[in-house]
Amino acid sequence: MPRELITIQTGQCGNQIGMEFWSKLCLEHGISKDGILEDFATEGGDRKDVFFYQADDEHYIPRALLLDLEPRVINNILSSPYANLYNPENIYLSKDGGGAGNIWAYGFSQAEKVCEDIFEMIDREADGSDSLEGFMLLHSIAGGTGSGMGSFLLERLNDRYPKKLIQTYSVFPNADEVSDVVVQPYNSILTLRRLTSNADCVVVLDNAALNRIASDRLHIQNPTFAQTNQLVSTVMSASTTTLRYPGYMNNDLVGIIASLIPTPKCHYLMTAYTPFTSDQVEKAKSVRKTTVLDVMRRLLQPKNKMVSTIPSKKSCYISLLNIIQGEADPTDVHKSLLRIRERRLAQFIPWGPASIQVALTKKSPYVQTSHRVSGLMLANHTSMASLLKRTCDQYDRFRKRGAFLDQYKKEDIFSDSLEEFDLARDIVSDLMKEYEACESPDYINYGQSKDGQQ
Amino acid sequence: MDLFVDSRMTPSVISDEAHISDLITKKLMRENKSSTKALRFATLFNKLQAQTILKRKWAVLYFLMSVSEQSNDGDASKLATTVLFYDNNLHFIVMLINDLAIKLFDQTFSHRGLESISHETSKVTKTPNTFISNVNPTSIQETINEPVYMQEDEQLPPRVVLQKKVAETENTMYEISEALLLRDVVFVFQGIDGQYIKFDKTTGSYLVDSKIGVQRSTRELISRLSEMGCLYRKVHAFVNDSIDDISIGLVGQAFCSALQRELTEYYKLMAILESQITKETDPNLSTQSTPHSLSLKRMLVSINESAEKLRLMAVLVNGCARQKGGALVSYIYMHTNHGDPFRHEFVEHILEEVSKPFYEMLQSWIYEGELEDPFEEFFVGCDPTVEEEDLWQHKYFMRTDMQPSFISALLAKKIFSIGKSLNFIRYSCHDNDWVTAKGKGTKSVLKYGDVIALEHSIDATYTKTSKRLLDILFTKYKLMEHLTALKRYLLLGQGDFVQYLMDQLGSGLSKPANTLHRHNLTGTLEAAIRASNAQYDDQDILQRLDVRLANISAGDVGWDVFSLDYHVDSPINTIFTPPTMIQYTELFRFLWRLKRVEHDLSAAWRRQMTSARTLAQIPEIEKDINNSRLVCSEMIHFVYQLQYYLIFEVVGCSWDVLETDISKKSGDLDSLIEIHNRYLNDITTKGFLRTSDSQDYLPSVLKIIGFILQYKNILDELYNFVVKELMRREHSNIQASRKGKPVEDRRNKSLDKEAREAFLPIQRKLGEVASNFKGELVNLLTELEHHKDTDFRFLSVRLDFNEFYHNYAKKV
Repeated sequence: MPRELITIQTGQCGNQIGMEFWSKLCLEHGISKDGILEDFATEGGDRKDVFFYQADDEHYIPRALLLDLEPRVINNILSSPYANLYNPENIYLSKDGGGAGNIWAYGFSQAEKVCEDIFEMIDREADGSDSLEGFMLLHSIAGGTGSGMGSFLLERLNDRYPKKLIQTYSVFPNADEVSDVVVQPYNSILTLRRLTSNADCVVVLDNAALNRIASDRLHIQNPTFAQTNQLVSTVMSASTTTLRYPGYMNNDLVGIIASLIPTPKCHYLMTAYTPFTSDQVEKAKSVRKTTVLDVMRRLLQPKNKMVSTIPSKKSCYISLLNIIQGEADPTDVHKSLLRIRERRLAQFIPWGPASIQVALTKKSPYVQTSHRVSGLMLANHTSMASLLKRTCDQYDRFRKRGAFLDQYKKEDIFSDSLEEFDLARDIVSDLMKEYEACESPDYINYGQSKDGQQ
Repeated sequence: MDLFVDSRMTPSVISDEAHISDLITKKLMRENKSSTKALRFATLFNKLQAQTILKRKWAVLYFLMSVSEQSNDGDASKLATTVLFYDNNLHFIVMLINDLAIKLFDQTFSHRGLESISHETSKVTKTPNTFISNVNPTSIQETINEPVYMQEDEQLPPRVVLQKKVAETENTMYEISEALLLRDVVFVFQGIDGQYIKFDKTTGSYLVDSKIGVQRSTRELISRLSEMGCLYRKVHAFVNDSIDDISIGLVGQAFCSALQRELTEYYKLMAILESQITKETDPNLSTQSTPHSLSLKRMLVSINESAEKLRLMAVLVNGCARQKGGALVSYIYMHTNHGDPFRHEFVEHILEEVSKPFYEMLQSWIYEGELEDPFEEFFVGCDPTVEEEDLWQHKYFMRTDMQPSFISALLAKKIFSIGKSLNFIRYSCHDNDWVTAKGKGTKSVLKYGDVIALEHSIDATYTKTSKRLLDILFTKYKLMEHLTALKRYLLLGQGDFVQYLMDQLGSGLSKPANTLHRHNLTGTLEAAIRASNAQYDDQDILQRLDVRLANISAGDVGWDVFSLDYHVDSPINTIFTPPTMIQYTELFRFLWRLKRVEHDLSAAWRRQMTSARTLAQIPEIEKDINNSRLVCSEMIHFVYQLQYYLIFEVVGCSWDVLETDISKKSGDLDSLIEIHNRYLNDITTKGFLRTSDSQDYLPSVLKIIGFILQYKNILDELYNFVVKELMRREHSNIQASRKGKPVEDRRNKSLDKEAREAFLPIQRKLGEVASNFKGELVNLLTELEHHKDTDFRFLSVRLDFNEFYHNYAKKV
């Protein structure tokens, strides 16, 4: 009885990452593009039914919902070799197909309108699972559909499945450059509210960092979306290996995130991955020697992190999990941990026990890689506050000028007032403060002091 | 050579070595056209002259020349040989001189064929002829023996000297002829009393009647000769006594037959002596003594070798009493360690025969695994009462006292292992064919002799047999699969399976143990297999998985008695013995407990996360809720880190060692058992935090675990309270709105009196258990931090990576 996870991919970004993710899972489990188990895939040891189920004709079908308000990306998927992989009943395309026009409010209200159709799909998938563990939402927070529709779904899922976990893989916009989506600060702040209040775990992936890694680590100038999405899918598949290759520990989602997230709000996780080679991303050429220590050391380096945060001197890890894949020697883990502690390569919170957790997992026998060991870091780090602060600052600049608000006022949720914006801003800044508070030993009294303030 | 030695040629030359060398050189030049031989001779001659210890160099040369001429006279074609002869002998002599003392050399020369020469010239005048004149004309050999005899006389032991003094009263007149005595002596040789020489029980030796006129020297000779009689009696008696005695065993029998064979040789000699005596005393033939006629002295010489043999046999017979089998072989082997090549060879010869039965047993043991040892003479024994189940451990044993001393302990162990392995293959692994085929196949016949060859042969067989045995275990009996299965199921490596089992059993195991029903549990087990990746495992392995319920004592709950079990049968139960399976069960219990704690904590965490929004509706207790989350995360941290330590540092590392050791595939089943035991012990000591100095941290860990479980229960109470309180509020709000009152804003207010009464004990308990937990954990960490064992220190590093507890302890 697997702990099933239902993947919901919304919007352009969500569906693109989703596509890469599923093709990656297919490769790792020896499932063909049509969903049929390859003849060579006999090694076993893997658990396919967390993410797939088998149709009557033995086809493996992803537990995935493909939702979008415009047809371009989904049509791409449907004309790709993976067209037959998905359950056609799980694809939702809006009838007018005009998209959300990058307006969160439009995406949100569109979702509300088609809520019944979508939840019919979700309920069907949930009923098809033996012991559903939760949902995985793939989206970006900057656009219209992924952010707006995603936000709506988060709220509703919470109501409908109050005991299920919700994990999201959320792509944050590149704050450094001018985006084609001018209203992204609005979209981001509105989505962040839902991510904070309605999700249990948010894996933050930020486009700026993805581009940086593509150019620095992989020497690709101006990476395409396809290439950065491959980075994301690599992280996603790596972070789910312990679910798909059951070992002694971390065999379900709770098992992974319970030790990472001590308090409900601070549930934003950053990731790092090493080494990225041409195995994961096309055209990348960068193979090095990989030992457990090398990998664990590199995972702590800012340049390998897939989030552009600006850590301060006080920034520290609340928790940290390294998922090491491949031929890792357990004694190496031991040595590496001691070395990292000696060198003080990682700073930890002062108010509770924290350490580097290491999970060793199998590597798919069907995917050949040139390196022996690869590693993924999932970490809860207080520098997440800097990312939130950046978003807030950008939002504040826009909001002060009252720019581009007309599009939002058109929708029901803003028709009366713009209070929704302020509420979202408050929640995000509360979160920011909590992250900052985590850097001090007084965090144990955090709830109390907040009471005092109010 | 003997020819020359015996002859008494008088040289017609001047005793000058230069002259002789001239003669030889000329001769060489004459016979051998080239000068190389002559040159070579000159070199050798120079070397000879350089020798200071050699006095009569000319004599040496003359002797050699005579020898060469002798052979030359007969056949001219032997020319080449002659030259070679000079070469070799001169060379030999030079070498000989280097080694020998001059005295010895002089003596040898003077008593050999050049004796007469020495009379003419040398100052060495030690000629024993005065003594010889008393007796019959003697041969050369006797003259050689005499001086030695004289010397020995002076050094006789005191007892003999005393005896001789007593003998002074004897009649030493010459009355009895030597011929008569000779006849007697031959009787005595065969252990029979003669006419004049009789066995004297008081001295235990043969004596000539003192009243009979026999010269003193003759008496002495006779007493020397009659030693043979005593020795013969002893050996003969032993053989006679033992030959029909079954209890002496096969080796003893072989010993007797070896002695018997030697005695037969001895009888032959007796027959020859007897016939010679008969011939010589026959009045029809000439009674005149010839130089070759038999005399007591001559007899002493001719029986010399036989006497030596008899003496050795007597020694062996003396010492071997009550020894049998391997011990007897050892005893005889001890006597082969003798510097005298004659003795050495003789005893070896005996040993070869004696050890035959031993080697036959050895052969059938190492080639067929059969023990053909009716008299328990082999150093491997078998206990027929032991069941086949325990074949490897208890059926066979070593008899170290039966282990021949030329077989080292290591070799013996290998031999022991080979036969045991063969039997194990045959009876436990049911692979009779291989053993039979091996028995029929090439085998080197083992016999006493080359110990190195024996070692090679044993080594080869040992490697072959052990390898075969391990191969069978690893292929036919899937040993590696069993090891993996034990790790996956009993050590909880198969996470999804364990998770399902925990989900299904968890709540039931908290109930009293007597409410558990085996059939329900096995049903759940089967469901867990079907629901997890375990379903793809080998059917044979899955069928071995079972549920075990320990004996229930009062007050036990399910957790105390439940464990998984893995059935092992023959032959793998030789490795997975009942004690090791108990170890596995203990490990399972501990890991299962930890899993349960993790499971409970996960549930608590999930509840905290998913109910975060509902909890926010009771702000009065936000602080407590927040606090409980932090305590919970500390507990999660502890349980996770402890488990990471157990999987990587303990099970993972030990498993790696196990795998490497096994992959070497060296050694026999014993070493495999040892590897596995070491693996389990490693896990047990490190996993249970038991140190070498018998400090045991397990109780402390269990206490901490206990606190965590308590805390989890109180958390449940807390959430139940919250649910109740929320319902109550909703209810009162509805009532309030019905009555038209405004909905109360409860932020920053304290709980109602009723709610406070329900909440306070919960709050108190939460605080209490949390501080108990922390206190115990800090205690444990302080102990581990300074422990001498690195593994434990490392666990403390893992549990307190950011030194939170360390700092906390300092503050307190």
